[in-house]
Amino acid sequence: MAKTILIVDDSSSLRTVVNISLTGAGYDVIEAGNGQEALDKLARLAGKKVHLIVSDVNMPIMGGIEFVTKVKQNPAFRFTPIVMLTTEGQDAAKEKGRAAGAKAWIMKPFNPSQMLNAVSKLILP
Amino acid sequence: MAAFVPDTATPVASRGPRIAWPAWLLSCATIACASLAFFATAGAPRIVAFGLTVFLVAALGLQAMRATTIRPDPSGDDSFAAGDGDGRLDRITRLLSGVLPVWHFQVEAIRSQTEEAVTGLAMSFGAINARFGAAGFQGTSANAGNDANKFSLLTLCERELQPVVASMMTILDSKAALVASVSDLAGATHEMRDMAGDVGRIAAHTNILAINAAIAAAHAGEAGRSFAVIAAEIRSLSQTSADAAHRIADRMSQVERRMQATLETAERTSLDDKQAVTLSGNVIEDVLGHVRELGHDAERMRTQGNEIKSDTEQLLMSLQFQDRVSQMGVVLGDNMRKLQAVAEDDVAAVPGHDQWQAELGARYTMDDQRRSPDRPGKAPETQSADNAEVVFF
Repeated sequence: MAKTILIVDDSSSLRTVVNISLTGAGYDVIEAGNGQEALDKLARLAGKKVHLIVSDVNMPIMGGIEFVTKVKQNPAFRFTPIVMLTTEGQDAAKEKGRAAGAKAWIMKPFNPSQMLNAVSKLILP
Repeated sequence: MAAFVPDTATPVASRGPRIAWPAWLLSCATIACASLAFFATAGAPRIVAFGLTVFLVAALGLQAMRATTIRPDPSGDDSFAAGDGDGRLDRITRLLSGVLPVWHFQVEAIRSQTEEAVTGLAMSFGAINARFGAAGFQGTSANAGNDANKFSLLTLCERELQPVVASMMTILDSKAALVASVSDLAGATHEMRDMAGDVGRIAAHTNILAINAAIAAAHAGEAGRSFAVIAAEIRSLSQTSADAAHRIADRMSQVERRMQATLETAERTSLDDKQAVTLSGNVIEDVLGHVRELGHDAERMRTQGNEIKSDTEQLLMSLQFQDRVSQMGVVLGDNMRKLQAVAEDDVAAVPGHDQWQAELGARYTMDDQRRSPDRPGKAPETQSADNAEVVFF
């Protein structure tokens, strides 16, 4: 059975590009446009497992760092690995992501092979 | 000192001395005092008062004349426009309040239209990419799979057809051996027929001897009677042998004829089989030749297909530019709204340029945004997908 990955990004074009890379590698994909929408979708999953989350940092309504913090507070997704996919390159921003609970930081524009490699290393069994 | 700029825009009726009223009042009071002193005095004091009056009138007149003909250059020191500063600021505020929402709307329209178009493009390229994947093309990346599993129609055909040709050749060889055996057998039957002939001749000769023995026994009279019996038996035996030899010869002749017919048939079919095998071999080689060509074409098509799939993947990745452009558009739009709010707020202090830049800069995430017209600097190395960084925590 295919594993499920949640993509969180306010850019629909970038969500499409990431979606194509992940579905091409055999994953099922759920999309959300910001952190709040992602939290709502996670709450409605009804037992379906999410094996990994890919999230942007700068988003309206709820940004990536706040989203990661709130996800980690949910016992159901506490151990779900989160990969940040962002244009942010400052060390301070990366440190915020690490402190919030992210497992990896990928700069945009991303290389699909590297992203898939990181996903395969971190994704839940 | 304000630069001299002829006022040709302001209507004549609106021209007038631009001197503040307190200056006017002071000047008039001074002239009045000087005039009073002139008429109230005489001699040297009168001269002094007269000179003072003339001086004050001249200064006042000169001031008035300069004020009517001088308009401060807006680009220079605006100290002469102090009296009109509030009206100009008000016009600028109204201008910003009207224009900034329009700019913001246009920027947002640009951002949303490009996002919509690029999303559509990405989905189309994604569908093309998926169809190429479904057709078996894997691109040219390192993860495209090894060549050991590469499908080769030519290899398959050679593997399947060449043993067939070999089997046919083996059958041909077996048939040739059979024909040779039949030929040997035909030769053997011929020899046997000859041998049967020899037996017949021996039987005939034996019969003659038996006849001669009977004659000799007859001449011997009574003493040759037993000999005559033996001679008769020998004659009977020779007759029987001759009959048997005759039948053997007849039978061998039949067998020989049949063997000869079989041999001719076998030789004829062997020739036909040889021609058929040769023809089959040629056809198979011809087919293999076509398959070889087909294989080359398929290989070329596969190479092109893999390259097209890789190019499609590169195009997809290149579309990531829209995300960066969108982020820059959002920051710009927010800044426009912020400027509009400042322009419409009559109470709060207007931030300085450095503060504005600092607050704007705090929202930047990319080096492209950190460049500015007054700090162009060296263009930062554009982040590309090939050298994208992945950091694991």
